[in-house]
Amino acid sequence: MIIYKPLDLENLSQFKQIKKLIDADLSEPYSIYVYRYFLNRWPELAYLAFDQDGNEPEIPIGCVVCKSESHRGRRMRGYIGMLAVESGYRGQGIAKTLVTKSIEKMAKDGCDEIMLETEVENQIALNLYENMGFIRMKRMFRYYLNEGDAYKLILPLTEKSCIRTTFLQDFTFDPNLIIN
Amino acid sequence: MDLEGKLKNLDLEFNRDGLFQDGIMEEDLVDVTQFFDDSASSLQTKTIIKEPNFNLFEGTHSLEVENKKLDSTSIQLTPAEANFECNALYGSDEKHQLSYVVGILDRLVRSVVCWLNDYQTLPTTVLSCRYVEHLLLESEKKGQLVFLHTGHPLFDQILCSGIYGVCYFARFVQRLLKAGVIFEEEDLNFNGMGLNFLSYVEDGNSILSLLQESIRIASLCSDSEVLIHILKLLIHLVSIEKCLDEFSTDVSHLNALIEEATYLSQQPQLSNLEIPAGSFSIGIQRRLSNQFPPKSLIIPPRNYEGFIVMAQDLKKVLQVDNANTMMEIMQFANFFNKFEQRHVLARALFPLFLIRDNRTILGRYTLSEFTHGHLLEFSLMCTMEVDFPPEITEQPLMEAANVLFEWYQNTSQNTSRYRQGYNRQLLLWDSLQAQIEAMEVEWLSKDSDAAAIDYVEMKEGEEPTPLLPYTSWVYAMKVRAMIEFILKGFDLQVYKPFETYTMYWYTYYLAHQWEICLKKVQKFVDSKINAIHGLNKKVKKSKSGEKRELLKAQYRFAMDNHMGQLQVNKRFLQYLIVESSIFKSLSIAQVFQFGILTSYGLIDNKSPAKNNFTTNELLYNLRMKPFCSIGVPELLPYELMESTFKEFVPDEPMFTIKLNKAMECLHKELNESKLNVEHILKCIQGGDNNGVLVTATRLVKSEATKFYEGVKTSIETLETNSKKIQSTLGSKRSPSLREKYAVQLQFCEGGSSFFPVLSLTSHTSKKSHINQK
Repeated sequence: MIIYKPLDLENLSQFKQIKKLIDADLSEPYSIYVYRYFLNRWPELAYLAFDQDGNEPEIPIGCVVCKSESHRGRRMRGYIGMLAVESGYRGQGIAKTLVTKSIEKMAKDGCDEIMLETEVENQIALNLYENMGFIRMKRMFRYYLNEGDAYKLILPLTEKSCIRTTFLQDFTFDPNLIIN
Repeated sequence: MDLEGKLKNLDLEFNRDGLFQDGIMEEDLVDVTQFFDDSASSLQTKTIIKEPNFNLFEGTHSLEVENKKLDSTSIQLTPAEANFECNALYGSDEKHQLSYVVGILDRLVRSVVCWLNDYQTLPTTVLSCRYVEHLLLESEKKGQLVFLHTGHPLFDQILCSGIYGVCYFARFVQRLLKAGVIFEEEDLNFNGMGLNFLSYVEDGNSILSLLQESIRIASLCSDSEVLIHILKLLIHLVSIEKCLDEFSTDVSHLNALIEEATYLSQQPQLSNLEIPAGSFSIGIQRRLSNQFPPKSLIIPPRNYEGFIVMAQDLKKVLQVDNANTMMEIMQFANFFNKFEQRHVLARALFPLFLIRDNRTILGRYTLSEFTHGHLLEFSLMCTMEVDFPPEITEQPLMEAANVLFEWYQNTSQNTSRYRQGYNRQLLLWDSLQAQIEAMEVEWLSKDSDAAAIDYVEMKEGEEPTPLLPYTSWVYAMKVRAMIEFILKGFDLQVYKPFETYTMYWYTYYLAHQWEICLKKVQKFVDSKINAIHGLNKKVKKSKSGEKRELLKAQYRFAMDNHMGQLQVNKRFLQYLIVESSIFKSLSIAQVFQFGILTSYGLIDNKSPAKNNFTTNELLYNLRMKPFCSIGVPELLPYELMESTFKEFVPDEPMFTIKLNKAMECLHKELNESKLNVEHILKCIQGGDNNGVLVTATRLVKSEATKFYEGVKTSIETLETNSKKIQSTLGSKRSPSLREKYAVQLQFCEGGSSFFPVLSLTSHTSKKSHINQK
């Protein structure tokens, strides 16, 4: 059985496995800083999938890494930075569940939209996200190091996502959400 | 432990010269080890130490020591690559040495094509040549060109001059990039590895002299024909900068470049030439400061043809200098990069050649003249406002010029940026419209003579509306930009099939708004033409000699000064009206086709998403986000889109009758659009003296023809596709159809990418007769 848990930042082996999973699949080589940038700041937005019945139930076999922050001070934008599932576990809906969990969390945290970029040629990723309601907002010429174009995809969660940033009021946090 | 001891432990002793330079005394240094250890021990796992501005963008561009994908020092070189000696003489005899030199230059020159035409990086192409690195480093040290010391002129003179030819051309490319009209990385990579690209060389003449001298020397050698052609090709590359330095439209160098490239592309022996081992490698990425992840070496294919593409595209750009009217400049910009993306250098040169540093357009119009010219050739001619004093019109014209330049610069952007450019422009046009409309109304209200306002009576008996020539022009530009933004989305495959209805429905709406504006202006132009003809009638009717002479003089003046331009404006407006009609017809035809497919349950205008994260209304509003702030034409609400959609979907009762009616409408629209496209094509071929339409495409005849031929092909494919759908699905609906077929957006061979086809694909075969783009 596959179970899903948020990242345990103190668990270095989880960190290493995430890095391994992503490095194996993504065309972009990420430095350790990129991983730390996401995981240290938004550990609650990284979900991991574990195979309870597998040989190594403590080692994640899939992960999604996200962030959520104010976009130009006008709206809250969730961002899916990385998603990977070990090749032997693909086709079981694990990626979809990981993404769903992260979107649910970001929506709950008050995000107005979720954004991501994916390669134009990555039909599997496009199908996954588009079947969740994301639409392609723009195409970016030679966006990746592998020289491929990318699409910027957005899933609107609130009306704020549909208004140009220029015409939105400055964003203010709900004081109840500020804990420090 | 004392500081010295710690340094030894850190194995930095050998670096002391570097560590303690700049007069820093050892005793001034403070041991921070304890402080560092204490601070580090109090860090939590999640703490990141970083400069405050170091964000995700910097992160994704950061490097990592000992990560093979990100650390250039991990690059492994062969001994030949690592120890390559540039000052050694390679080749056992004269023939062998010549072959090596030709081989090196041939590969280097072909690397230029990989770099520019295939968007490869500089270090993996041109800078992979060890000689380039060596000569640039050594020359920079001396602040002047240095040469190899092999003792043989083939290397010391000819090879060096060839390399400097390439480097000088790279300097020109760098200059284009620095002008900020194209995008680093996206359009062009200029990772110069910290090398100085001959900034100490005053101009190209010294390089040209070197190359000329090398040709002289080479001509003394036997079997040097190919070498001479390569050197000549380099001469023409170096000379390209004249297009920008002198805004020279002399294309003789570009023609000669094409000739040389054609000759060299026909030399099969070039692909088999040996080069000294280690002379090309990725070593520079290891040796010099590489700010990017290591990349593999590019082995250039046989690609001299790339120079032909480059030269032809540059020649095309220079043709804009032959434009006689603003319409021609505008149509040039509109078409030259539309159907196929031009070479990056041509795209960079275009805005720089057009809008010059001395704030003139093509060296002959001031900014205000240029903008005013656009207005005169559209809506301003013969209006009351045309005579307004400059102190009134100057400011709005300057505002308009800025947005107009944005439009011009955008036309040469890469295909993705082009659409984004329109997205940005919409705000600018809209804001300009608001400003200019307010000003225009104010000017007119200040005028005590109400008759000074130009009105247009669209229909007899209807209340005339003010022309507002400035506002009308801005509005027409804005709506056209909105249409282009939507249609370009189809080209870039931004929309999924389910969005097709919405996007074409909206295009129809916009094209309709555009058409109304164009017709209004044309009606005004017509009234002015008629008024001039009316003067002639008055002359004939007038009996009083004095009055007659006055009318005669007025008539002659109007005929000499206004009639010609008014006629041209009328015909250009007619061309735009025909184009708007094509957009309308094709858009509504797509809407009909979508409705028909929906009636069979094969597609819907709703997202296929099966969750509650978003709604179809939010998706619609997000898609329309670029238009959300635009006042006129107002954003159509989701509810309206939904309610009109239902009207395009044939349903029971009388499904078959409604279906046939929808098919009939679809074919009628396609037929109409085909006739209109053929009309435009005929007028493009016939030139602008056809008496019907002015397309102003004289300088981009082949490009415009290709564009409209593409639209025509799309119309024919839409027609065929529609018939195929009808014959496949019949006139009876069945739930099983959904299991058999899916609907895809597909591009047809040679067709316009603005109008892809909603085609049926079988779930089982997944094959289509139409090629995927």
